[in-house]
Amino acid sequence: MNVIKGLIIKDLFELKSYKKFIIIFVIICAISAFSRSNPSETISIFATMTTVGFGMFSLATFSYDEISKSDKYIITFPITRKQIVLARYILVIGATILGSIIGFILGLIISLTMNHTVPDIYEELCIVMGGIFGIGFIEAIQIPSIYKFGAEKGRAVLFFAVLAIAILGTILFYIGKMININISFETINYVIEHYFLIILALIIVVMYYISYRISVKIYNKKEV
Amino acid sequence: MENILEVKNLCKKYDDFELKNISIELPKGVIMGFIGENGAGKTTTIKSILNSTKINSGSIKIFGMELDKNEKKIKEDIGVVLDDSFLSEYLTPNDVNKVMKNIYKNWNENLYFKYIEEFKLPKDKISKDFSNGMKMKLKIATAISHKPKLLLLDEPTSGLDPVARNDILDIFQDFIKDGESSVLVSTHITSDLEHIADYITFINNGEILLSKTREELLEQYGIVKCSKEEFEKIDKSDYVKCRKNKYDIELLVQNKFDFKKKYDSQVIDKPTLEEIMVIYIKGEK
Repeated sequence: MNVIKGLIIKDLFELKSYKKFIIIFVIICAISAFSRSNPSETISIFATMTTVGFGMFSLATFSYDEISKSDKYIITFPITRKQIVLARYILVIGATILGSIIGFILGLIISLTMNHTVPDIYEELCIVMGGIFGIGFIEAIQIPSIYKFGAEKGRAVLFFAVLAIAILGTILFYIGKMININISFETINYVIEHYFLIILALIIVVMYYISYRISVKIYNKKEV
Repeated sequence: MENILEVKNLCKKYDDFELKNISIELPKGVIMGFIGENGAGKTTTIKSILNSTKINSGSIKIFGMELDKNEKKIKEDIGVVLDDSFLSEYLTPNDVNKVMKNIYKNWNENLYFKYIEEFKLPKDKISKDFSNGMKMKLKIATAISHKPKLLLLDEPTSGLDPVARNDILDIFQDFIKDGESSVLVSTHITSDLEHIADYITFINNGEILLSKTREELLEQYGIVKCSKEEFEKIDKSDYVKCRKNKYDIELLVQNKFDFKKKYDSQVIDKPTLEEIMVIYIKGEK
């Protein structure tokens, strides 16, 4: 585990140069959150922005490694390729969760200071989890793409992947409509009200896991 | 003598390039210079030794162990310096220490900072602001601070000024002093190796052309300069390769003493590694 810790520390040092930028980013998020009169909106905007922001910052470590060609060097360490990929996923997932926690707590503090009322915590958590799902979805597609095509092309792949999913979703919706599948919104609402957090958390875990397995497969075959 | 590294019949095929039956034996306590022109296969060989690239056939033994079965264990005792790759340049030597002490079990923090001070590197400055020589010294300090038994270096002196190159060559000589560690250093700057390498292995177009001790190469090989008429009297089996210049012909001979005995009148020069390399590559039989 120490080797993985070493790689994560390396990534964190790389992100050190983002320090000022991250502070400015959090301040901007706070300002935009302050401007909302609704306490619920304050938290959700703040938390979503920081979750997405921190997730995106952590992906920048791929570019740092590409510029310094670190992969070629890291592969000479007493470490397996699987561990190299795992270290990156821990960093990215960790940064995303950290972003959501910081956003949630600071959002809550701002909201309480401004309105002196306690918002619906469950609802807020659902929104934050939605933010994690959003950035998690991007990361889950982008990380294997970067391992396969490199940091630059990986971003282009993400665009096409999102586009393909949107088209597929639309097609499925129309097929459903054509063959008269009745979607019961009452059932959906019930499920969302009671199990939304758990379902979304499970989807996120499965999404990251599949993405990790694909990345390991790609990286094992890659000529570094 | 015990071998630290044994490469046998290594083959690696790419679409446009191929390593053909590479065999290398690196004994304990020596520096081996791995020479060849750019694109000859030096880096691919080193990548294969590090298992960074999958080989098609052959075997690699390091410290007496099969590489593919003991990779992690073996890599604990290897130090690596690559010309074009290291940790991000946004890391300071202090940061590098914090990373590397988690990577190698034998990482010696005191030894690392001893090298950093000896090489006059600032501990808190990001390496992006370092000169090329300083960057290379940081790479070398990082590679030897876990006291590896094998140091692999890919083009460590390219792009450096003579003073920095000399400093770096001194470090290699210090490194093998204990007689337990060995160095394999690939370079196309052959003059660097003339004073420090114990062995020279010469690769060209994916094939090992020769692997000999430095003495054998520099003391026994010779360059003969002769006229066209003189050349015609020389037996083909008495020289390795010849190069036809505008006014004379240069011959590379494997044993200058035997040659001198046979062709009494010839003047034979001591070759440099560069001359040997150039005549081997450019010359003809």
